[in-house]
Amino acid sequence: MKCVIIGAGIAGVTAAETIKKINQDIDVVLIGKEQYLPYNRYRLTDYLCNVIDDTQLYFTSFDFFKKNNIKYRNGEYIKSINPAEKTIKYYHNEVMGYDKLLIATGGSQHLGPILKPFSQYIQSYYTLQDILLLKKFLPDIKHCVVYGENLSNLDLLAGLCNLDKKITYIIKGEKARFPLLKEEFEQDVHYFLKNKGIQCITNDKLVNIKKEKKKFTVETLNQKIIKTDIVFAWDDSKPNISLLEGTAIHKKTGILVNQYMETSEQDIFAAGDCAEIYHPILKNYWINFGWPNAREQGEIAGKNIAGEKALYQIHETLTFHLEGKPIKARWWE
Amino acid sequence: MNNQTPGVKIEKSTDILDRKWIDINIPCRAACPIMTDVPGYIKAISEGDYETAYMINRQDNVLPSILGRICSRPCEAACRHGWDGLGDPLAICFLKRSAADFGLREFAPVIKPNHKKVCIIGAGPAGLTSANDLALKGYDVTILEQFEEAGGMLRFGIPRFRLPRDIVENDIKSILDLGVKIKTNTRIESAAFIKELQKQNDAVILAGGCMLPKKLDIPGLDSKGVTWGLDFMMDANRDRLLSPMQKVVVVGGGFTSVDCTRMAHRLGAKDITLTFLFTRDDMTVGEHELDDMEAEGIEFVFLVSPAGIESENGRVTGVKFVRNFIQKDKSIKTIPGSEFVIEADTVVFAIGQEEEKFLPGEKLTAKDNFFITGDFRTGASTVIQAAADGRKIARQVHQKLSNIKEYQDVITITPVKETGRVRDYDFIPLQPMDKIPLTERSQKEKEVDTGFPREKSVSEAKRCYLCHFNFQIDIDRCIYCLACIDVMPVDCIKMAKDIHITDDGNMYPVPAENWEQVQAIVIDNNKCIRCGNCVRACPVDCISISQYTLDIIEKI
Amino acid sequence: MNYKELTVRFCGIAGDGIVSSSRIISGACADAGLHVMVNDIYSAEIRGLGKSTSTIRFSGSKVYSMGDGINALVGLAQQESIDEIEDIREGGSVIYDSSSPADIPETESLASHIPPEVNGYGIPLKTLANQASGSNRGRNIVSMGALCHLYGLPKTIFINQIEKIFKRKGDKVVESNLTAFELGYEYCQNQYPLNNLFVMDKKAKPLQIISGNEAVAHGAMDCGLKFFAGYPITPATKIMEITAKELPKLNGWTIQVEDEIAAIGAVLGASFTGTRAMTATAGPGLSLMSELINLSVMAEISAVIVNVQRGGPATGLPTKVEQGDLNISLYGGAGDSPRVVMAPTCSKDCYTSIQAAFDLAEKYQTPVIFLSDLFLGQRLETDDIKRNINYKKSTRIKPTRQQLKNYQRYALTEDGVSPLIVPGEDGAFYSITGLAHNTAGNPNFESEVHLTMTQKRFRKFKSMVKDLPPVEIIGDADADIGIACWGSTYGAIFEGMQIARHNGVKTKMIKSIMIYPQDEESFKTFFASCKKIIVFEMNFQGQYAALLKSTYNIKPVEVHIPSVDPVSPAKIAAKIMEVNHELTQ
Repeated sequence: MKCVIIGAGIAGVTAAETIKKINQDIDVVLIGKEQYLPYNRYRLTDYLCNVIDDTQLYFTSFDFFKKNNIKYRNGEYIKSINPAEKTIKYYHNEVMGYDKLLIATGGSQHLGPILKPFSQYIQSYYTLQDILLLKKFLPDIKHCVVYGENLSNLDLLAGLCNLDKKITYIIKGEKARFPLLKEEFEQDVHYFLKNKGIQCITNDKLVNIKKEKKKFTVETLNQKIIKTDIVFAWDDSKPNISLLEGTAIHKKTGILVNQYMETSEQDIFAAGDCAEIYHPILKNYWINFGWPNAREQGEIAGKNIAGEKALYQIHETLTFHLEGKPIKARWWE
Repeated sequence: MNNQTPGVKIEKSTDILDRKWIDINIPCRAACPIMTDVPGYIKAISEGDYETAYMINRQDNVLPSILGRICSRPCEAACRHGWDGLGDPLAICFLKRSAADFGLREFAPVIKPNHKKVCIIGAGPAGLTSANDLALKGYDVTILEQFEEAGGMLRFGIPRFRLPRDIVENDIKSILDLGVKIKTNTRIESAAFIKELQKQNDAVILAGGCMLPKKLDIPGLDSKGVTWGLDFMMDANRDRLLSPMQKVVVVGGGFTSVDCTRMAHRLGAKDITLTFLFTRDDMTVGEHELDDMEAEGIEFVFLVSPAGIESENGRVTGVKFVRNFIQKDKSIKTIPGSEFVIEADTVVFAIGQEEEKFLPGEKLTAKDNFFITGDFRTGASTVIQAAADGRKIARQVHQKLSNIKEYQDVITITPVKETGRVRDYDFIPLQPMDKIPLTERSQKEKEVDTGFPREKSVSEAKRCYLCHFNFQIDIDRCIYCLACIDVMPVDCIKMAKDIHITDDGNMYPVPAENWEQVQAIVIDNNKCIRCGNCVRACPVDCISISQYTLDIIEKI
Repeated sequence: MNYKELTVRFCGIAGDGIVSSSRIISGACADAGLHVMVNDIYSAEIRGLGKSTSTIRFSGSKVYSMGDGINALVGLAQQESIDEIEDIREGGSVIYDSSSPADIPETESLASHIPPEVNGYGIPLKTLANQASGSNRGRNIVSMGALCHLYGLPKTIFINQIEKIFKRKGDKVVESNLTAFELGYEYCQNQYPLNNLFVMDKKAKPLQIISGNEAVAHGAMDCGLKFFAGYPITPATKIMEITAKELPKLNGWTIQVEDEIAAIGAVLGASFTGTRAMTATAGPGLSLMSELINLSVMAEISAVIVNVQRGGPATGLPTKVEQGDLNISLYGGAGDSPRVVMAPTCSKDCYTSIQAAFDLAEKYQTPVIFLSDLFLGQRLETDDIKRNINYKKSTRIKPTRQQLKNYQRYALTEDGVSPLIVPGEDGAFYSITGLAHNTAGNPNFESEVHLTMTQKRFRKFKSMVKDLPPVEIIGDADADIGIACWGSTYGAIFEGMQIARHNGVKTKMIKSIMIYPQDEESFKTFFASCKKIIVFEMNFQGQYAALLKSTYNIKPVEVHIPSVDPVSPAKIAAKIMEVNHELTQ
């Protein structure tokens, strides 16, 4: 049996490992979009701030793949899936067959219709490549504009503060609405932002970015003009599910799965940040967020792929560290 | 074609295979319900000839300025440029708008009156198209319209920020200029009235549209603040909505619901939510409109069904929803116990429209010289579909009232020397539409899309693959020198061991695996970018280009 | 990562521009003062879809061989490139086309074979090439742009080289190639902003780049070659190509004849009239020439026969290298048929020793077989060849007036060389024959006369020793392991020795361009100083080892190097270590 796993994040790697633990005879192909070994995404800011070095960043090694006989294909991505023929198609038009497919493509920062035209001026902050690039030119940067109310923004703000950068933070409402449990974030985060001397522009939106020589000019809805060295901006984080286009696999924001991590299509599973599941307590569809959950989902998916029946128990165990303090995060939408 | 070789014979074909060739190879034209000659007018635009482009549209789809803004664009979904690996589909709709923006001129063909009278009930897109077609054939056409102005859904259903009123008026005027008379504020009240019309006219066409909102049955619908999509739009368009709104919930996932949310944004609402039974993928609305919605800050909630209206003192305070899940067969089912409430002071249900029962208890059917067209006949659809149906029924009327046996599709095959397209055009990116800034989006009169400037429209038009040109290699003359394969820009010329012609007339070359198997060299029109490199390279001049155009003629 | 040396391989099918891309890169590197070696491997089919590769190794310091493994592979043809992946070193990279127009099954996809420790870079080569030039040509230039970025190579040297190479094809071609290069560079820059860095000396002086065949042709022309006759054969054709172009400018001739027999015949004819003449061929051609080489020996007419060896026997492996023609060169004659056999080791050798070959041939009135090989003949390398055009007009020994009076064409002399006139020279009669003859050149079948004349012919080879190019001893003089090799394998073995030395095993090598005759004293001394002798050569029989064994009475370790690919220094080193291990046990 050949199992193909799209996405070499923690969910994908855990699933691969789980499958191999249960049955060595299953061929496992793990496809990662990035050129590097799978790494700890949540530690990227630490890496940027030189708290950890690159050896602490990776959680696998080439030996791990060799030892487990997992075929790791890095730097490649899948553009489409054909569930009827049980094949996937790579960006370079290679067609690969599968018996079981796990989609663990995770999420990424998403630019809405207003920001999209300026994507070339916006520095993304999500992959190791972004960080490595930032490491190169951050020393020359004095002033940053940050826009967006995601956990990754908070992470970025913390990182930039530690690097003593001057920050202007544009917030849509009166206060930043991170997807955190309300009572906890209100005090901690606001205190944090203020304490760190971040200049906050409230009740405003970023609507225009211009580049002049090496500087950027940012314009807000309320006609505020800010000159800056770098712009970090995104609207929200969204699951990477463009590869599902044209398939009948049920999806909402993410890929809809049941508690066995099965999608609506036979033999196709989804796990991690790209999977969306109905949460009876929240009475809502819910995209799991964070490292421990992705690992757990990966494991459950791996077990189900390998033939064991494992049920995913929905719970909330999400934490986010702000200055060493854990903050409970809830959902991600 | 200006580069047509003199003396070369233009072929007129009625061969079913040539007809199928058009369906298969000109996907945009085949996808258009009214079969607009898309490559024809786009080629004209690429040459800067907006007037020709406008006239092609005026003849084919009657309402170019209107459709150039609000068409549902089935053509773009089919466009070859959007196929896997070929980039983004052409902005066909915006180009149509450019043709009208820069090429609009008087349409005054010579009409020979035939002194037959036709009455059309309803001045919406279907009625107007029928009127136009019949007027061109010399009929004396009168339209009856229940409202004070012509246009139907175009005027009252579609908001002005998408379709300015003067644009509607221009297109309607162009039809009325053909001699069509219109009686406004006239409504059908009785069967006798229709009988009377049938007597006075040679034919009567009912194009009543679908002006009645579909209703659903949940508790609390009578609360103040609950309204129906079309009513909301009509009131807003007629400036009759006075009560201020803050939190608006729109239920439904069609064009009208999207228009309602965006109209609410212009009416000053702060929190606007669109809710839909299914998911975003299931919405029929084009991606660009959803993007505009998102930009205007409208939120989506998918997979929810309305379960009831929450109200206080008879005034709505919120909508109770229940979550849905998708079953294997793609149908939805509610999840028990998943009820939740979205706060609202205005709730708009835009879950579809249906035809009005003009005559209670009596079903209107087409009989004798009474015809039905448009949404009234087919159920709620799009403007382009209604117009296409208008044309279809107009043809039926004409056939019945004159001595035409049938209509026949004739394909004109014109040999040409060059297509005018070069390889560089493939690298022009999709031209984005300029829009007014967000700060100006609170004015409900102000059109959001500002239209392509001339240069942009020419650039965009150059991207078109001009699928109406057919490249063929004459195998009898081919010397298999492979000169064409050496210069081919993409993988478009193949060495084939056999050619399969399917029943529907499409040719599939079976690729040869080695030189011994090669029986023919074939141009794959699906891959062809119409650059003409091969024609120029061929030493024995065995590659021909011909332009395929479709006309429908009346057979007497 | 920083690199001081890089090996890049282009792999594709005919028409992909494999060779031209390696020419651009190598030219660019040589102009920037880098040492370069290029090796092309292509299929034997004359036209068609055979695979071809070109490998470029460049470094700040002298490059002796193609080294081991490659750093980067540019796969212009997917399926064909799959086999090359195993050569990639860890951390290396593969550039493949991500804009393939048709679906590729997993088994045929290059990307699916890239191991995780090698970086795959999918670049839409086809699309970008199209964008630049309107056709699929130029994918190689796009990938070059990508390479340039990925390894931090200076852009300007490539741009200059592209301008230089395409200049004669017109501005439009230059422009589209430059655009292709820029597009590849930009794409990579946007997609893969982090790169490796090739560290280079910015002040290095430009080097010249030359292939063995070019060196042979130019060396010969620089020392007075006036006549070339030949029949095209891979891998020797290039020599004729050059002489055909250049000789007429020097008032010389190149003729293409109907076969190799005619070629050597024409050469002997030309030489007979006093002209410096040469032919070039490969193994199958040399076989055909055997008979007339015998005539050259018997009639004592000088001739230079360049044999660019390829795999044999018979038509064999037309596009693969092998050192299998030593025996036919040494012994391929009927009767006692001595001839000079020389084997250059690098392009520089090719240039200098072809001149030495002419001098020996002319002076000693003998055929000289010049054993180049496919790898040496076709590889490009940078070398500081000092052009020598001050050759002696003629090294032929002319008769004195006294001798001319009663001219004996085959007069017996102390060194065996009979004074030579040009036929038709006033007052003397030049008699020549392939039959056994007396000193006057008249047929004579008496046993005594035959013995005397045979002795005379062999005597020349004894007296020749003083004029031979010197033997070089390379390596550590105090080493116990002595190495002998010949021809183009020298470079790889030299690098193998360095690797072994790095691992603590000292070796020395005797490098001699002369195969026969040899400076026997130097060889004897060298072998006497070694505890163990290894003979490396690229043939199955151990042809050189057999020669050495019979001449010097030694018992060497004979190593047969497989003949398909260029020699791997690492494998040479491994063999040396193995021998050393046995020795120390």
